[in-house]
Amino acid sequence: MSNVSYGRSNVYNASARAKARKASLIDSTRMRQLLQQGPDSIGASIGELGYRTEMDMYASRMSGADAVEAALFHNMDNDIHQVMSFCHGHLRSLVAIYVERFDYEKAKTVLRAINGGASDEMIEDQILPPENTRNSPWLAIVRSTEGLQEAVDAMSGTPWGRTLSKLEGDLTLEEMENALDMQYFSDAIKAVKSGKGEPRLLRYLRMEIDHRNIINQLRAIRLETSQEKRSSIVIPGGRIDNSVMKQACLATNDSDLLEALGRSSSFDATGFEEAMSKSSSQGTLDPYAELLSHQRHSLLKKFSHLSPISPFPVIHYIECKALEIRNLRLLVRGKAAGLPDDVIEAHMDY
Amino acid sequence: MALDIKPTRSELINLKRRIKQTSSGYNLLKMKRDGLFHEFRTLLSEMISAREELVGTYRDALQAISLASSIEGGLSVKSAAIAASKRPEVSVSKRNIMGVVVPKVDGQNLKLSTEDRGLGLIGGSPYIDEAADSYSLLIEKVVKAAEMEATLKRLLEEIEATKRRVNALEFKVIPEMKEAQTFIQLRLEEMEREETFRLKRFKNK
Repeated sequence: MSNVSYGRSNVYNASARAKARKASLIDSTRMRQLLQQGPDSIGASIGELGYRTEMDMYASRMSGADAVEAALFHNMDNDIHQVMSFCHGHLRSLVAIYVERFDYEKAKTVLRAINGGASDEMIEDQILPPENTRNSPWLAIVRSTEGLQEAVDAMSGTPWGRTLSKLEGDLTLEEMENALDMQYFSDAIKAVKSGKGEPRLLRYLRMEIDHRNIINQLRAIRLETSQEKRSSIVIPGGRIDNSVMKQACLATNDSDLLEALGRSSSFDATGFEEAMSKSSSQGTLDPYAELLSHQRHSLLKKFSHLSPISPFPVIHYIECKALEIRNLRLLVRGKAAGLPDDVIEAHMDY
Repeated sequence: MALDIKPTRSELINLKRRIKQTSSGYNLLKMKRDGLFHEFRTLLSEMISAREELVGTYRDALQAISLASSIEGGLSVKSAAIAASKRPEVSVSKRNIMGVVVPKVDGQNLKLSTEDRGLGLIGGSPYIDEAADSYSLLIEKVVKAAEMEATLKRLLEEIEATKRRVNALEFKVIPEMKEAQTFIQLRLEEMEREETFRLKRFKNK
């Protein structure tokens, strides 16, 4: 990711193709129709919406929501691969910044499996299904390694492998995961800054960092994490000043945290008051997570329209595809678990 | 009742002693039964509230895990679940309530801290945190409820057995002994009357 290519990009072509793909995604009306369906028929309807091939692959050994979810992930992996194949040069490097986060997640899953001593069969059956050929390298690491250090060695040559190999001492899984997340954002910022100048992409990334920092601080308050640790998990590079974030790390409740964040002109406090009151009444961080998620998606959507010939339409398409997958998963899992329709709908993002 | 007993004075003395012993045993058993019953009732009310709490916690945990699986994905939840190298463990020892051996369940690693879960804080999800916390709480309550339920079961069995013993003593053993005592007393009196009558007959001859 940090090696940004400066070769010829095909921004016009790729943007047009991404927009065409975006137009074929499930729209909000169809999504609401799916919401009205029962848990039995929803799987069949999702199959008809372009996921049939993947669903058939998993139908023989999985059932219910697990099969649908595995099929959705497989479809998304295929889709991202196709999108990357039609992006060239500098554009490809920029889109890769967004796409690589999925690989980082898989790297973390592999480390978790090895650390927790999960069996190869369990990983294959439930987490990284072998039907998806893009899981093969990850499965090979799970099968061939015993400890975390061996896994790190097996990942050498990849950005996440390089990050992990730089770490010294006897590290815990938590430290490794934190290092990977830090490195992802650091590489992403570096890559965008070193490119031809994509201020909007940079702004989006910085907003994402801010949101990650805010939600992490809210989680840390609930987990009663020490101030030292809270400071150590602040991802640098966000729009909110470091000094403000340091102050935010001292907050002992949501109200103090928001007050501290409010000192930064880059902090958009819209909706936080309402989220705070909902969060305290429901006893969950869900209102904050939803608010931040909506803010990010609306910014990405806005940038996609403002910069029609840029990496944004492509990134926006990938984000929309990820959202579609998330919404479908929410429907399937939510219906299977018996969540009320209004709860499911409240968490859906179009 | 077939009174297969010797109507002798020594037997009567023995029987009187046994009746006295059995009556004091009966009183002790009755007290044990009442004590166990009192203990059972106290535990039962605790158990009812623990059960209600357990059902509520289970409902919350189910809601939290459903939301986490729906929003973050079942694969992410499973991925987070396999990370922990510490697993909840329970050990069962024994304790004594009024002579009744009941299980004592102790748990280790029931409530894991963020560090114990092993997951990185930066890329974590609040939904998964909340689901993990809910399930930690649920496991604690399950262990507590399991211990109370097993204790109640053992107490109930003991109360049943004690009740049977008390009833047997009250309605069978002690009445039979008293009947035997009466029989011996009557028999002895009769033998005395026979003896007196025989002596009178000898005198008259």
